[in-house]
Amino acid sequence: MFLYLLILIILMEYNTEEKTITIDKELNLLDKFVITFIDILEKYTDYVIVSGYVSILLGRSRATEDVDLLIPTLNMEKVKELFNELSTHFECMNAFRAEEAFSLLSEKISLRFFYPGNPLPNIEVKFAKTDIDRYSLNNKLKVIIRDEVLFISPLELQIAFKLFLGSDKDFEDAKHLHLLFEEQLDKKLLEQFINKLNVNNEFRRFIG
Amino acid sequence: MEPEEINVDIDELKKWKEENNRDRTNFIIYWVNYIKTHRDSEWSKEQSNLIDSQIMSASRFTIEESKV
Repeated sequence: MFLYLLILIILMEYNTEEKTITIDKELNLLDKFVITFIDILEKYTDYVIVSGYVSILLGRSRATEDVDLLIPTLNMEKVKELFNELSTHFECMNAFRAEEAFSLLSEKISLRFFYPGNPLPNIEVKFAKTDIDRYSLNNKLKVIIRDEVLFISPLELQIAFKLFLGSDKDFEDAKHLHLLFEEQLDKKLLEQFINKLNVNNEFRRFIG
Repeated sequence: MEPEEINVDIDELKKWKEENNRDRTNFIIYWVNYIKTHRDSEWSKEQSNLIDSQIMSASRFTIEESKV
């Protein structure tokens, strides 16, 4: 019994009521890179991690060159504060000044940050502009990794969106998430997103 | 051999592609089962080896590029 409890504690756990996933994982360099960035970002704004890194954080056996983050629309002053502090640790590929950064974000263009001189991996930040973006932000899941906390897109939306994106890598990410959390996923919600994104065929072919 | 001399059997290649996709899917099933049955610290160590080596190799590449 004790051993059983011990195993429960050290395996990844998804508490759907609390919208929290707890992982006792060893942090890899990509995780550390993301956490360093988020430590600064969250001083200024809410955020949610979307796309490939969600699967990687949750165990997928692949790396990635970029990590996608959504933030709510911020005013110029807030972008300036955020950009100036981020610039003390990271290089921005497509903006040198806060004004440029704000202008790009307002035009729905992502800002891409990386460690100075090391373009890989990098983090893409953009304003949440679509309903799907806003849904991700407003319904994010909390991931607790030892002493760290990150927020990710809801898994049901993530799976459907990956099927929509449609590359082999995306299908595999969707498969990974679905297999890993098939007992905890909200099936009705997943079906809703599958219908909204019109990926019924992809779901049947790669997941079902 | 010149490119125009190469014989390509598309049906054979398609079969290979299907088998390759099936192998990749089988590995995902195997890996998820590994995650579900091993401690987080164990599977994440495997994952770290893979990811860290790729990132280290990318930064080495950047450093070497900048020296050229």
